[in-house]
Amino acid sequence: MSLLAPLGLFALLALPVIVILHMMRSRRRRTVVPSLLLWRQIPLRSAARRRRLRFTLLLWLHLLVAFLIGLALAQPHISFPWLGSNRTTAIIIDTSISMTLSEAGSSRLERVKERASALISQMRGADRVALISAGPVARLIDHGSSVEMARLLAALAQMNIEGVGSDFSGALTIAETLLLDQPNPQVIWLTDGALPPPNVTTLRVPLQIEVVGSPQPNRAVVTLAARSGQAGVVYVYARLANYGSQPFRGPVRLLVDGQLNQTELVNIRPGAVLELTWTLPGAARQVQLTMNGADGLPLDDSATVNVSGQHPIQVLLVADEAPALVRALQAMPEVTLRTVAPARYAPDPTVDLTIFVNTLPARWPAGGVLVINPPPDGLVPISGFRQAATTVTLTASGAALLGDINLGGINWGQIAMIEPLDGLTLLALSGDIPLILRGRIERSEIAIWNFDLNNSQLSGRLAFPLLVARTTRDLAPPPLPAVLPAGTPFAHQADIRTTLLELIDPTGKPSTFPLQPGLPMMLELNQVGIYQLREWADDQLVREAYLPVNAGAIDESDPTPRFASAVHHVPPIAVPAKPVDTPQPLWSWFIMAAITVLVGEWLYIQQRSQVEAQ
Amino acid sequence: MWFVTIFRRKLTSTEPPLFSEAFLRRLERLSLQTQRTLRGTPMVGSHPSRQQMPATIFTDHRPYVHGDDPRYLDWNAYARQDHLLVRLGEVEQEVAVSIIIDTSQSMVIGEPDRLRLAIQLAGAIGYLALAHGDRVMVLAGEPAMPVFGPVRGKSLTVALLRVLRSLGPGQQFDLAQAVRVVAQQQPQGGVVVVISDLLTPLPIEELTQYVPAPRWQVMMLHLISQAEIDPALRGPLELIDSETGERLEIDLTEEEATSYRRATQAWRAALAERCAARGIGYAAVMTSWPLERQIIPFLRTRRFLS
Repeated sequence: MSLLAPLGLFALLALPVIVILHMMRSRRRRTVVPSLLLWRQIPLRSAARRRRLRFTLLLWLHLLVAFLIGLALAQPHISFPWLGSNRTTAIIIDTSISMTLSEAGSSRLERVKERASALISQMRGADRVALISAGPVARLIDHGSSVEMARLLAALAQMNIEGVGSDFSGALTIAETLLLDQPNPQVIWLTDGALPPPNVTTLRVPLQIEVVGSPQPNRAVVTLAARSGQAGVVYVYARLANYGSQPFRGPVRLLVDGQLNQTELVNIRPGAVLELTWTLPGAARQVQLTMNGADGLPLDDSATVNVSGQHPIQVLLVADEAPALVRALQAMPEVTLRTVAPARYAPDPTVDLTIFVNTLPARWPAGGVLVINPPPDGLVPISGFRQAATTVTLTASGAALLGDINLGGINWGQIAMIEPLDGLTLLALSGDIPLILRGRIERSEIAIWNFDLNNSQLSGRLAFPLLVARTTRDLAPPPLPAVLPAGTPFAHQADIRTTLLELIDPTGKPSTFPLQPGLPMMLELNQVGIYQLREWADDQLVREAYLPVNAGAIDESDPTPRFASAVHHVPPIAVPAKPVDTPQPLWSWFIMAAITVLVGEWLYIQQRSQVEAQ
Repeated sequence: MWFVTIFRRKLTSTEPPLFSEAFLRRLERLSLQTQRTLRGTPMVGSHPSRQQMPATIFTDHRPYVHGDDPRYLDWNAYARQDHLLVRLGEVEQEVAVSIIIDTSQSMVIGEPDRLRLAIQLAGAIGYLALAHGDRVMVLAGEPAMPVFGPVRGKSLTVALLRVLRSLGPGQQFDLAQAVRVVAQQQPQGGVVVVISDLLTPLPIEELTQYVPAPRWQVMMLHLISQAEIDPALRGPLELIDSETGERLEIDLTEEEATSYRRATQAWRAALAERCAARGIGYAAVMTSWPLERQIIPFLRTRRFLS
C-alpha cells in the first residue's frame, strides 16, 4: 500500500488528543440515589485514581474513526498483483458520415462504440486508454486510466458523427504522440473501411484495424453546383452515383428556392456516376436535388447549394460631384448606389460601404469606408502637400490586392503627406508619400486613396474601374460559400459591423457567439442540412444568410469496406522497465468505514442514554 | 429526537390498589400495642391503662369517700373488716395516634416505591387506630403539617384513606419539626408512628425532648430498599442526591461496594441501637416485602401490633 499524500498522516495526531480529552473530560454515569448519606461513609479513592484512562467502547470508536479519517486523508492506494496490467491503448473511432449507415438494425457507429466500450471496460490496473475521433478533423476526445473508466465511457457515449471524411492520418499522429515512450502501446482503429487504405508503413506503434460493416448499396448526390449566368438564368450541375451491384432507376426532384421545379427519371448503372445539368430560367437563390436512394445512408440522398453569384453591396457616395466614380460604381452589377452631398450626410447602419470624396465624417462609420482625397484637419492627419511622383511602389500587402492593376505613369498631381495612422497599412506609395492605405479601425474597414480624382489622370485610365471594383469588393463583407461538406472546419468572416453571430442549426437549435471585429469565427457544422446565420450589430440585423451543409462526397458515399481487419506489427520499442503500478484508491473505503463506525457510535450512545434514563 | 422512542414499548400501569377492603377487615383483628403508661381518655378506647377506677371486676380496694358510687362498695370486705371499701379495677383507654409520613424525594427513588409502602402502612395503622376508638392524626409534607385529624371514629376511615392517597413526594423531610408539631397538637401524649427511610441524620435528642417517655410511645418504621443495601452499580459513577442535588464522583469497584454494604449494616445497627437506648421502637422494613404476609407479621413480632 502506498500513500499519495503522506502529509495526511499528520491527522493521526488527533489520536493522542482524543485520548487526552477522554482522560480530562471522561463522562461518568450519572445515577440518582435517594441520599448520599451512606455513600459519604465509604473511603474514596484519590483524584489521580479517578482520572485514570478508561478504555471504554466509546474511546475505541473515537480512536477508530480518527484513524480511518487520518488514513483516508493520506490517500492510500493498494496494488493488487493479480490485477497487474500496464497497457496503453489508443482507440481511434471513425466518425465519418458513412458510419451512420444502418446494418442489421444498428448503425456502424453504434457497433463501433459498443466495441470501444468493451475495450475500455477491460482495462485493469495501470492500463490507460485514449479516445481519438477520426472525423473530418482528428481530435483527442479523452484519455485516462482504469480508475477513470466511468468518465471515458461517458465521453464515448457522447461521440457522434462529425462529418464528411476521416482524418485518419491526423488521428494516427495523435495516437503515436500519446503512445510513444508508453509501455505496451497499441492503436486500435475502429472503422467501416469506407475510405482509401491508409499508409501505415512508418507507424512506430502496433496497429490493429477492426473493420465493421459489409458491402452495402448506396445511391448518393455526390456533387451539386449552381451558378447564375447571363440574362438571369441559373445553371445547375449534379453528379449522382450508384454504389451497388444493382442498377438504380428512379426519379430525382429539383427544388428551386424550396419549390419543386422539375422531376426527372434517371437510370444509373451499377458502380456508375450520372452527370446531370439543368438551365433554369429566372433568378434563384438556392437549389436542392433529392432522390430516393432506398439505402441505409439516407443523408447523402439529398444535396442543397446556394446559387453562386454577386453579393449585393449597398454603397453610399458622399460627394458633391464625382461622375467618373459614379460611372465605375454603376458598372458593377452587385452595387446599389446612393449619393448624398457632404452637408446632408448622416451615418446609415444599413450601408455596406460609404465613400467620402474630398470630405471626411466626424467619426468613422461602421462598415466599409473609402476615403478619396482626404481633406486636412480631419480624421486623417496630414502634414502638408507635395507633388507626387509618377512612379508607384506597391508594398507586399498592396501587391496581393493591386498587383495586376497598372498604376504606373499616372500624374497624381499635388497629394497630401499623410502621417502614419494606427490601424492603417500602406498598399501603394508615390515616391515616399502614401498613395493608397488600407486598414481597420474599430468596426470600420477603411481604404484611403490619397489623390484627387479631378486633378489626377487616373479616372481616365483603364485601371480606374478596376481599382474601384477591387476596392469596393475588398471593403464589402465577404460572401458565404455556396455549400460546405459536413464537418469541414469553417472560418466564418462576418461583416465588420457584427457584434453577435447567431447560428441556427438544421434542427432549429440556435447558438450565439460574440464576435471581435475582423476576427474570423471557427464554426463546426456537423449536421447535414441548412444552417441559418444572422449577424447582429447590437440590435440591428446586418446580414441574414443560409449555408447548406451536404453529406454526399465521392469518397464518402461508397460504404463498401475497401480493406479488411488487420494487425500491423512493429518491432518493440525499448521502454525503460517500470514497475507495474496498479493503484486502487482506498480513501473512499476508509471514509465509508468511518461513517459506519460513527453510525454505530450513535446507536451505542442512544442505547446507553436509554439505559441511564431507566 | 422524536424518532428515538417510536419503537419503544409503551408501559401500561398495572399497579394494584393501595388498600383493599378485605385486607382492612382482616387487619381489624389486630390493634396497636401501646404502653400502659400512656395517658388517654379512659372508658373510651380499648388500650389498657394504669388508671384504676371503680369497677365490678376489681384488682384492688380503696377506702370509700363521700361521693363514690355505692354500687362498687365491697360489702363482703365491709363484713370482714368493718370498713367501707370500694372495689377498684383497671379501665381501658383511648390514645392519640400520630402518624408521621416521610414524603421526601428519596422516598420515591428506586423500585418498589417507598412512599407507596409508607402510605399503605399509614393507612393500615390509622385504620387500626380508628377502629379501636383512638384519635388519629396524620402529618406529612414539607414542612410537616397535619393533613388528617386529630379525629376519632371508624366512620372516618374513608376520609383517612382518601387523604393518604392524595399524598405525593416533596423535596425534603424534617423529622424534628414534625415531632414538634405532634407535641404541640397532642400535649397529653400518645403514640407517634414515624414511617421514613431515615436518610437524614436522626434527631434522637429532639425526639426524646419533645415526645418523652412515658407519656409518649414512639414507633420508628424504617423503610429500606434492597438497592440501598446492595446497589447493583459498578464503575465510574456520578451519584446525585435526590433531595439536595449534591453530586459525588466515585469509581465503584467491588472493594468499594463491599465497604458500602458494610457501612449500610453499621448504619442500620447504629439506628437500632440508638432507638433502643432511648426507648424508641424500631423496625426495619424491606420495601420488597409483601405487606400482609410479611410486614404485618413482622410488626407483630416486633410488638408494634398485637
